[in-house]
Amino acid sequence: MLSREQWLRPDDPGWLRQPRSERDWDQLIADYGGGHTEPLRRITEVLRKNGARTVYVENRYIDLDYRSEFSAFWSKRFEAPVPHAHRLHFFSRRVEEAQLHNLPKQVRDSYLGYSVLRPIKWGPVGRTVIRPPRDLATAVITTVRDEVSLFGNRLEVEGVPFRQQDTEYLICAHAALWMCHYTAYLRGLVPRRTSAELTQDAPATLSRYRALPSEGLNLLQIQAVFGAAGQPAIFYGIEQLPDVPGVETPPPRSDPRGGVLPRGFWDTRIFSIAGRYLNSGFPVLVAADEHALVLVGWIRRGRDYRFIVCDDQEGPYREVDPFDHYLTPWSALMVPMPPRVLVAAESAETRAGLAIRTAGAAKAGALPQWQALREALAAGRVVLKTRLMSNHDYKAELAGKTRPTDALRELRLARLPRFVWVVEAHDKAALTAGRAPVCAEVLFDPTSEDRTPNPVSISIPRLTTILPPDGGSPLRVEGRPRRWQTLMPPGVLGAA
Amino acid sequence: MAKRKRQPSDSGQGEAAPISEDQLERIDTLLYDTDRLSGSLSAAERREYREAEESITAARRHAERHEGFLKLY
Repeated sequence: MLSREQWLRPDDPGWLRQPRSERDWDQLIADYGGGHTEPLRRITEVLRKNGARTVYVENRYIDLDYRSEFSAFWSKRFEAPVPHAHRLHFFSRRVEEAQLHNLPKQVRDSYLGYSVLRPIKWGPVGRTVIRPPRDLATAVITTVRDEVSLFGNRLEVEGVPFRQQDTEYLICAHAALWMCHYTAYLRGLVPRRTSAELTQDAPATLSRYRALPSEGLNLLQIQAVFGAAGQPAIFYGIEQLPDVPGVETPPPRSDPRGGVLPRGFWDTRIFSIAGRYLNSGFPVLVAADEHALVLVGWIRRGRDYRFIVCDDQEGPYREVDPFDHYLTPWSALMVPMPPRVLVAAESAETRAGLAIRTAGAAKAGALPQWQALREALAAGRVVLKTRLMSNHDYKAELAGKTRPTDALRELRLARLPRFVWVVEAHDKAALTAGRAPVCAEVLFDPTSEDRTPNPVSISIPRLTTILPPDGGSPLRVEGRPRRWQTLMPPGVLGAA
Repeated sequence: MAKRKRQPSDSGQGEAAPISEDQLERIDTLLYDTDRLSGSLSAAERREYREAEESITAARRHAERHEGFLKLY
């Protein structure tokens, strides 16, 4: 760890490091990694996978979160640490000292992200946003775009926020809460709260132990912090996940003595439950044993699925099998969501399935294409995929998805809520053949009732019907029974 | 009164017969009140969806019973 003198260097705006060898990277970790180096080690591993060649150390960086923590906690120490941080910027191109005041475009384009390092022995890694590693190119990841200014050079990175706990003021639950919160902030869903404000949002009276030094947060306190930050969380206990038609409920697994293992060892429904939110860009906090970590994505590996995890003790972008993890069995999921989203993902998907199958019910004389869709959905040849989208994103992304022109026009002109649950029916054969896979779509109003969510539009072969608000007349658009492209993130394609 | 639009530009070769007014009204009803039409499903399908809805309710109730004081650190 850098000494106080090495940390201060009052005469320098910053300095370049050009790590070439393993030893150079190890030196960086030795300088900044503190007492628990694994998070920074993982950060450097991701950077190296992305071809990092230059590290620029921005000196005397005043980080809003670290300052808030310093004021609330570290400044009260008789021997207080240095109150400012170093912000490390990473580039895949070589950067020269003479370029720093005006970085060329190719250097700016090679920006891989930043990490704020603080002089805190057990929690040096602060706010960090770096690009996902290249080997996760096919994953669905809840990335957000962050903009930073380095000496007036505007730099952009798309990644997932990460930070480490410090074991005294902020522990794993605070770090996990912050990762979810900063993602929501960068998406424009909530105003920014500092890490100290989030910490102070946890009601001390919900714990028997005093708040400081922190002995952790319980689930009720975590829910209180999510609520105060404007994103109350949907809660799932792994021991009782909801069933959704079309999603397999696996048979229980037993231990060698015949006792049924906790569901955290085998219930594969966790992938679909969390996946719908991850597809929507919302990270999921996990209570894993007595530790909190954050699911930020998922990826398909052969026939199996893996989560992409940010674990404050292990670093960002870890690929994890939830049934073979150092903290298996996990016990609960918490999904912080906009408060006006009252309908949960599985409610929308269940209701969409019901609507599509009802539309194709033969005894009511449905069109042959609707009957065929109903049968394919029942047989698993068609599967449902679900994503929450903002009204704006939905309408913007509709263009270019090969929807019939009139349907596109009417859907764009439709008066929709701020968010919509989009449930698409994907034809697996079309997917395999590389053709447009979507054969039906149901949109739901997420502000309606969770048990019986209101559809606002249904598109089935040959027909799109839109239901305007305020008792308006249904608008019907008829066309050819052709499929269109999906609005799901690219990694969803090919997933069962 | 529902507004209806046909889309000749997208109907391509061989225009399909228009969808009957009965069917269109059925889809309207589906949007207004899905449950009203669920009687047209088979008994097995109705049971499947009823059980799914019950399991969502059960999951919410289980969440309330989950150990809230589980400490994460």
